[in-house]
Amino acid sequence: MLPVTGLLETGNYKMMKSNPPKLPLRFFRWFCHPKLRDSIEGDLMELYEERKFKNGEVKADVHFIKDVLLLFRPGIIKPTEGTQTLNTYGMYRSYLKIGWRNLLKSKIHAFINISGLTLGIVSVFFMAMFVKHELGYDRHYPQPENLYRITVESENPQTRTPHPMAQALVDDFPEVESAVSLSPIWAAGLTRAIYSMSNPENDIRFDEKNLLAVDTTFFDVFGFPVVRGDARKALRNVNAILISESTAKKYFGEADPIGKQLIVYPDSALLEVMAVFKDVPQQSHFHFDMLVSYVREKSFDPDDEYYTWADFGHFNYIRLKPGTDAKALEAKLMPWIRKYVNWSDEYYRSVIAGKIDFRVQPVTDIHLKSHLRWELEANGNVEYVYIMAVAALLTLLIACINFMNLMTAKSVERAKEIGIRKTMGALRKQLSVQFIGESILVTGIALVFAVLVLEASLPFYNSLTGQSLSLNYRETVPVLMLVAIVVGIGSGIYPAVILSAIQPQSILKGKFQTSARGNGLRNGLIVFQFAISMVLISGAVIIYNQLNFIQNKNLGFDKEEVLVIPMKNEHMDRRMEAIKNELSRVEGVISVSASSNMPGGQFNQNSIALVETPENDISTSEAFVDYDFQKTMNLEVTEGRYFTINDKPGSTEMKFVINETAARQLSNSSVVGKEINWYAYEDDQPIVGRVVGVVKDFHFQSLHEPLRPLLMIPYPAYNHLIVKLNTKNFEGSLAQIKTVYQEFENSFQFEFAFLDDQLDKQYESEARTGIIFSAFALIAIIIACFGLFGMAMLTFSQRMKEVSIRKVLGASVSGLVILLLRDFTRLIALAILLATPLTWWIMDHWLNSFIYQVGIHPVVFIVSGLALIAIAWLTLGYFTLKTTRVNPAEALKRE
Amino acid sequence: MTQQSLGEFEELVLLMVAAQHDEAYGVTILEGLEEKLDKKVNISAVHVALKRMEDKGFVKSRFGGITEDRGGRRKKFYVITALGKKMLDAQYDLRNSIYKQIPKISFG
Repeated sequence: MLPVTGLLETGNYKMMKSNPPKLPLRFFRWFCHPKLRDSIEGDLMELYEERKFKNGEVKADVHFIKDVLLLFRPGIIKPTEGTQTLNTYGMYRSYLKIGWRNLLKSKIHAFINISGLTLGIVSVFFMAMFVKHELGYDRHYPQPENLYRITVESENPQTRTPHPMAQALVDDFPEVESAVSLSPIWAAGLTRAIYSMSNPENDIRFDEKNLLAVDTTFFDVFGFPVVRGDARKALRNVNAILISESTAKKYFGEADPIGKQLIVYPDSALLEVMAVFKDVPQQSHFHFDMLVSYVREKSFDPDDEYYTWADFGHFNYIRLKPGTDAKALEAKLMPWIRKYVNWSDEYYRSVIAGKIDFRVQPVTDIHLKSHLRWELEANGNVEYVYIMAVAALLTLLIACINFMNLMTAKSVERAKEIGIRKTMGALRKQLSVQFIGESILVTGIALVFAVLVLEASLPFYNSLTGQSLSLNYRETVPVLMLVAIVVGIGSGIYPAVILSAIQPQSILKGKFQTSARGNGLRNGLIVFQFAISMVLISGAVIIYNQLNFIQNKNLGFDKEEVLVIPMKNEHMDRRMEAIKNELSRVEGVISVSASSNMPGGQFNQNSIALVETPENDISTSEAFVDYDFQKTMNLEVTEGRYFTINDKPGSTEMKFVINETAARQLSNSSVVGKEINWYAYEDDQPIVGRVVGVVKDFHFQSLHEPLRPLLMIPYPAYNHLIVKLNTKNFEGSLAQIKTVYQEFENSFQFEFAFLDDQLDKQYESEARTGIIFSAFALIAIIIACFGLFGMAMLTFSQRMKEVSIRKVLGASVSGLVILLLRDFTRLIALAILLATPLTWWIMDHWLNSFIYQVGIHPVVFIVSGLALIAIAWLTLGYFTLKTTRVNPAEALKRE
Repeated sequence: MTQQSLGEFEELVLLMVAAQHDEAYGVTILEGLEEKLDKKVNISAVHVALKRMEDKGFVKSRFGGITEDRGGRRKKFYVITALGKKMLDAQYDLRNSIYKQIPKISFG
């Protein structure tokens, strides 16, 4: 039926007929204007056939592609607005245009919405980063879910268990795949020993305290990556040391550290580096720079009870086979351990009755949930994760509420548009999409600002939390975009429902005035916003009160002007008298003492009992102190006397001083002069000594802990020099103290700290929470006040006429101010009333983590409430004045 | 009269359309131009010029019958309009008049 040209009939031409490359052709068809498509495509085909005939297929193909690409230009490309395409593209474009114009029209509202949402998104980002960081602890091991630590549950639960337990668990329970025992190396009084190490080749020397003794199975259990050397072999070697990559760099630079030696002071022992492991990640509940084998530790004293079942003094970790029920294993442990310890039936019953039991604790829970006695390092707190998350989400919520309130309050302004759109046939659904789209637009803009703010504020946050966050765009931007969309929909959905429900007849007739139906809810939302602000403000005040309280509480000893100097060299104990003599001659030094432990640190624990009533044994913390300790720390002696220079052990019988709590628990009557058994070694004979005095209770542990019994022993095993100073000429005194110290000890670095600073460190996480809480309180108030400002702008302008008429009728300016402020003040007062009991409840819960609480005083709420109202009035002030100062003639003229 | 412009290449295409009266379509114009100019011309340029001139009203088009050798696509034949002819004449006159002003100088 088609006219066939003569050319086509030539046989070989027809045979060679084939098609040009498909992809460019499809591309051409897609972009080409439909009116031109047919003819141009025809031309292209004709040229293609001709070229193929003349130059071959390849050249023709290349030419074809070139032609298509060159045709891709304005004039040929179809217009984006399809000429006859039936889509709603134009409608969406109108939405975007109107949305943008609305933003520009009410710049103040746009600013309020965008800045509020920006702050909200920024808060949520920081929260998410913080939570991710906190939840990410101890995930770096292979199969971290199978790793557990054995702990002991009791009235005063603890982390440490006997050394042989690890191996026994592997032997007796098939579900235990591998186990390891580890421990820091302790100096006297459970203080981490500090070593000075040096590279003999170049005399590079550092103090090292992050050293652990571990079993040979250490790397099987934890799977820390080993970079060089054979770690397993190294852990069997008495003279081996394993070091981290950065430690290797520190001592040996770029050279291969394997086979190199380190000298360890104060004993001048030589250790050979036999393996290098990767640095322990920051998100780990324990850290170490160096490892030595238990084989080495045991070789010093193979019969030490410390390595037997008698001493609960080691950290035991196990790796279970996948799918093992850890709870089932936990239940088997207490009966099982009797195989190894010779507990009498009676004792075993008392253990069970005392609710003492083993726990199998997932390693992944340790950082956030474990706060036992003797943690390897201070852990985080899951409560602070919750607090942070809730505070950030509330901040974002306040910003969303601003958006909802302003959008619905502005419905009068948008009513005409909605009426016309509806008359033109817009469906309610489409209008909803429009308004949700607008809110996504606003959150999208806020998102861009949020990213900018984040970039600017990350360094500050990092210094506050001690983390090193950076904005990873590939990872965070999609998440933030999702947040923006969710927030956009969340805050847009309510205005969308309200606005799209407006009846067009009433609007276009001019009847539509205000959306009274939205008023109740808007007021409710304002109350909610300010209630949140109130909770945050008063919460922050209570946190600061508590911090202030614990920092100023009388701890029972002097913490001001007390210098603590670590004594890292254990051989210095013997020369103590000489050092003290020298130091007390330094100008400004009032008194000098030495002790094994300092308040705020961890203490070793053993039992004591009166010799006459050995069945009443009590667990006591213990400290080795000298005869100047009481004077230097200014402890009060309530009964008997404190140690004198003559109370040195060995010279006479053993003497003890105990605190009031210990005295009370030992006996109802006075214990001074009585003999007590000190069970320093579980299975051995107790050490018998006489109580010479009782000191008044002082807070030797943090105020999270109750006062516990304390035993003071006049034995020279010291870790700290304590210097009571007159700090008038601190620099001079310190320089002299340093000189004296270095006369006696030169292999370690001289360090010092003030006791009160050290004590404050115990409350670091509380202080940090206080800062975070007040930051969120500030942000929340700012956003809420932005919202209030916007609402005032709308409602006051609507009440301009009312105010003018009242003025004409003789109302005073002050009366009008009260009239205008009354409504909002009522709402805020309601918010304060609602927030008070809630805050009370929350903060009471928080304070319960302290044994010593400041108590919640109603003044806190009165002050924060008044502050909140004052801030609100300041916010409303501008529009109040503007409205009440209006010239009635001007306002009433316009009709 | 509105100031209509005619680019150099457009003028060539328009001339070719006029020359190939009623037989002019993409490929013939292209081939005619290539032959006269003795250089490669791209089909896209031709089509863009044609579209522009059609929008300006210098040429009009009609569709030819369907032929097999073009894969079943119709040819779009272009014819010069009266306006297009006027434009060409104006251009020609303009050039001629200026050319005539050139003094008779020997460039020998």
